[in-house]
Amino acid sequence: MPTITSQQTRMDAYLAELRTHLRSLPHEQMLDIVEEIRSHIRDTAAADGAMTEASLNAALHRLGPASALAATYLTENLLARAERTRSPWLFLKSSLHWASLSVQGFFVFLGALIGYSLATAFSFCALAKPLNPHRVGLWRIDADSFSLHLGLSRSLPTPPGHEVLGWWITPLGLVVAMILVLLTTEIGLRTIRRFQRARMHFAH
Amino acid sequence: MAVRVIPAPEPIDKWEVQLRKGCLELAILAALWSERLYGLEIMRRLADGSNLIVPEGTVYPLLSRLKAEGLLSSEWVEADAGHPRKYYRLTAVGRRRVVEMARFWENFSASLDDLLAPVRKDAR
Repeated sequence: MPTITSQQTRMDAYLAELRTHLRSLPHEQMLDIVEEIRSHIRDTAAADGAMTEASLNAALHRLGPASALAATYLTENLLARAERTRSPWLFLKSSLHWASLSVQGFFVFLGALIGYSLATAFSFCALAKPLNPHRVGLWRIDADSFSLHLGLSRSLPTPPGHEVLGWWITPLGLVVAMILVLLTTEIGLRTIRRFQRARMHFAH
Repeated sequence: MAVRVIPAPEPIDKWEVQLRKGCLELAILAALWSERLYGLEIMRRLADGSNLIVPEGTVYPLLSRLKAEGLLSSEWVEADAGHPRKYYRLTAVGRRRVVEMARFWENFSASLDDLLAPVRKDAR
């Protein structure tokens, strides 16, 4: 027959899993969340005195799997922090962790990675132009095709075709990079908010 | 000839769920207007006061966000139950937000009431 100690062990295991999934949050905040959920489980599972196997099962069932609960915390936390700071680094870091917890998170992370990588490529082109002007820029190969070159070494051959933007690649590259960062963050936040709404269920 | 596909109307219960979701933040902030409460008390208050039965897995992370946004503050209090509980209260910013939200809600529901008046009259 399960003992009170075994219920305690199961509760601790649930909280340990929650703690593991919340590791990307600041340490103090993570501890605060875990203790709040511990307090909640004690209140709901031991409402009539001792914590039984059935009451603990019911309490944990209502909370949902630790990974799903952690994912909701991370998403809410990400929304609050990213909306406040609009920091791409913070958004990418949090979405990476969310990606390990859900399929939606994976696609948001993938989208963010592509958006920010393109922005980085444009920024590099913009900043490298003064260093190696004949090998960095946008080249027109033929009537329909263009090629963006980032030649950092002076020993590289000059790209074929005709250079299109010249020195304009620097301001335009920076503007395009900035727009890409803003768009990626904005679309990422909106997507998360939509997924977050879809996760919430209400009983009647 | 182009065929226009008309999507089936959403069932009424789905619409209700969407409506309740939209009101959750306001309901939580309003529940904390006159006193501090801990998570489970907030859920009971929502269930008793407005029939909003919300899963724990939704409310706790939402409380955490409202706190991160500076609308709520929290404190741990030793309870008779033998373990501490985390109580939430509205901050000054939170109080201002509820007032704004309540004002918007009143205007919105009043204008919706005007629109609904003929529907109610004919449905009787």
